[in-house]
Amino acid sequence: MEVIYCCYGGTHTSVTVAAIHIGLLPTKSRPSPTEILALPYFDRGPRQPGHAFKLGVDEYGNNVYVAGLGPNRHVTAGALSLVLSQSQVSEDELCIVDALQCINMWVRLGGLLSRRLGMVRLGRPLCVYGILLRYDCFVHLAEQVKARVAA
Amino acid sequence: MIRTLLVHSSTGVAALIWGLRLVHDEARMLAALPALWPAVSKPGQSVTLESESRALKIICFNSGPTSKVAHRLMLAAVRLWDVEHLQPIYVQDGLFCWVRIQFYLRFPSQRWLLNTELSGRRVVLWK
Repeated sequence: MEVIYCCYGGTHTSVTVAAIHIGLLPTKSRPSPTEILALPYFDRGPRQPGHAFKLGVDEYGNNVYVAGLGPNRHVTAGALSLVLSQSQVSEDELCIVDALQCINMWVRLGGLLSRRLGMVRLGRPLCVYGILLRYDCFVHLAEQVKARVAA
Repeated sequence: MIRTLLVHSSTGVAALIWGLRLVHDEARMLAALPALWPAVSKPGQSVTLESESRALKIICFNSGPTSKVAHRLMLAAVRLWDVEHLQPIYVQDGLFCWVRIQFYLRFPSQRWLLNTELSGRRVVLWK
C-alpha cells in the first residue's frame, strides 16, 4: 500500500504524521523538540510547494510518502492522482491523507516565517511548539491511517 | 506500455486543444471541442484522449492557477513511482482564452477566436 501524507509545503505537519506512522516519533509520550527537529526533511527541502518524497516503510510493509500540495490542494491532489492512475499502483492500494486537519496557527506562522520569509531561527521553534501543542491529534491521525491500511 | 502525455494548462483550453490536435485533424478537432470542453472547464478536471492507433494516450488536465505547483508534483510523482511512460507537458493559455472559448462555443464559425491556441506554439518546458 502507498500512503501519502499531504500538507501545504510538505515539510512540517505531513512529515510529523508520517514520522509517527513509521515509528520515528513516539505515540505514547510527547517527543522532545530535538527529536522533532532531527526528523528527516523537517523544515528542510524545497521551499516551494509541489514536491513528494518517500519517508520510509511502516511495520506492515506500506510505503509512506510526504507531499506538499500548495494552496490549491484539490487540484494538485488531482494531478498527483492522475499520475498515480497511470502507474502500477492500483486505486485500492493508494491512501492519500490530508495532514492539515491537525494544523494550528503556530505551525502556520512558523512555516510562513521559516519557509517563505527565510527566518528559520524564528520560524522553526514556532513550528515545533505548534506541533507539540497538537501532538495528540497527530498521533490520533497516524493511528487511524495505520488501522485503515493494516486492515 | 502506451506512451502517455499529461498535458495541462491553467484554464484547460490550451491543454484540450493541444491534446485534440495530436489525435484529430483540425476539422474533427474543432467539431469535438464543444462536447469535450465541459469535462475540463473547471480546475482539477481532466479528459483522456487516445490516438487512432492506440499508441498514444493524452490526458488533458485543467491545472488551475497553481499550474507550476501541479507540474512540479507531476514530475516528482513520475520519478517516485517510475511512471516513465508518462510525460507531463505544460501548455500556456493565451490572453483571455476562457472568455474567447465561451464566444467560440456560441459562434463556432469564428475560428480566429482560438488562433493563439491553435498555433500550438505555447509549450513551456518547466523542470
